[in-house]
Amino acid sequence: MILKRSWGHRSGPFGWDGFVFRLLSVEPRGAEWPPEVCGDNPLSSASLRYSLSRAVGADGPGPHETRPFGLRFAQRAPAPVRPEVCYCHQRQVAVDDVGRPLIERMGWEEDQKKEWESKTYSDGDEGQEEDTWGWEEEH
Amino acid sequence: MTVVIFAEKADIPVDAVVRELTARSVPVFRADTSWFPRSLVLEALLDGDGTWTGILATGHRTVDLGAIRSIWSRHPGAFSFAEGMTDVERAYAHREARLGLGGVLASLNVLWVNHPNRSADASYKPLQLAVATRCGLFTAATVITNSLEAARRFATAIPTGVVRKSLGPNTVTEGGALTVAFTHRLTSTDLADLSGVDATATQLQRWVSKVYEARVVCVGERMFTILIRAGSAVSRVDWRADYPSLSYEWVDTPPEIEKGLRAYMTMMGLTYAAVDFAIDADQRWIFLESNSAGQYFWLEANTGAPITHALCDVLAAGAHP
Repeated sequence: MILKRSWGHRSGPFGWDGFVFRLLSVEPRGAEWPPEVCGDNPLSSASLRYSLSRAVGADGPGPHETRPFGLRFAQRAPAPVRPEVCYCHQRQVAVDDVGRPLIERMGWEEDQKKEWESKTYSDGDEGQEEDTWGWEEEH
Repeated sequence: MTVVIFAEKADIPVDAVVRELTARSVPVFRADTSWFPRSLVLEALLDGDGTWTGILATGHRTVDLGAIRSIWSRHPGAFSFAEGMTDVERAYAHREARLGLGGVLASLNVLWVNHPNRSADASYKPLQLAVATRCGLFTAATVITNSLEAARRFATAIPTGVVRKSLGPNTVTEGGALTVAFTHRLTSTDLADLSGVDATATQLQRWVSKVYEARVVCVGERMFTILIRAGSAVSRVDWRADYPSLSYEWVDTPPEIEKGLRAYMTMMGLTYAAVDFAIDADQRWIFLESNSAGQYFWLEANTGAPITHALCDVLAAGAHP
């Protein structure tokens, strides 16, 4: 009997620690993500909040026939720039290289109309796919 | 009593809240979960009353778990473990960290903005639409399916057209570039080839011929309604696609929307949400989605709506007597 470890359901007669040892002959045909990426229970929001923690990328789109419909219309966009900042543990705010709080340097208090880069393409969503949903580790 | 904030180091809206709370002499303990376990220390002991006592500490400050009045969880970073760990050790470590640190914090009897569990539940858009409808808010006809036939049937039954919307985050990285799947209004060419609908769950929704949109930022009992007017063709379909073309106006929240949203927030167990609406020519406000971690600061900057102030009020009030 050939056993192969695959990523599957969390529990079961042969389950241990999120892995299931399945008979090779009944292994699902489709590719599956490991549980630390997609969560243990595919229907649980509790799993969702721990999922998508790994930065997932691909070289390019897959075949047309298997590409999710929603991604067919996806378009490239400039990646948001995350500026390098220092952090002042005393004041608990981001500061520039001379210790001035960024919020002052960016003119917030002088100009309430200033456009802040606090929004994203997926603004309002719970974060970009590469972001974490909860307390998980990025790899 | 201390306000605990979990956020990344570079987060200007959080800086604004920290500054205002500090100015009010409200103690603040700000940390990022990415500091755990290397520079964020948890020491929690279960007492006889079923309460976790102990401390949360960085190298610079300490907060007593019993002295926390509220917690704002605002896009905190991922746990970060030692480089030498194997993948197995790392996977085990972050499960334990999540269940240990996250579990202790989740069990504290404090006000959360928002509790991670409520926030996670509320991220399900099908749940949002169902709850919003039950709360008396208008919603657009929607189908979620992996059936080509069902998708085609839905689309052809709606003469005004349909849009495809992601159910979750709309960005992926392909070929080293960021790729964004904005809301897309389907053309007859699109409908002629629906392949890919069956690749996963697909959401189609009736196109709302909107005259403008609105984001209602709910903070505790307060609501800030900002009208968003699109100034380009792409932003009329999805305003996230063209921020520079947008204009904003802070207005009173219509009473029926306020009533519906209060019920929605209660049912979802949320303290904070940014809720998006489309407003049609008949002035019907159609609920699109709710974002329990939605951005608000650029709206505050453009309209003067005191959302930071309201957040500070909520966090400072906390849940303890």
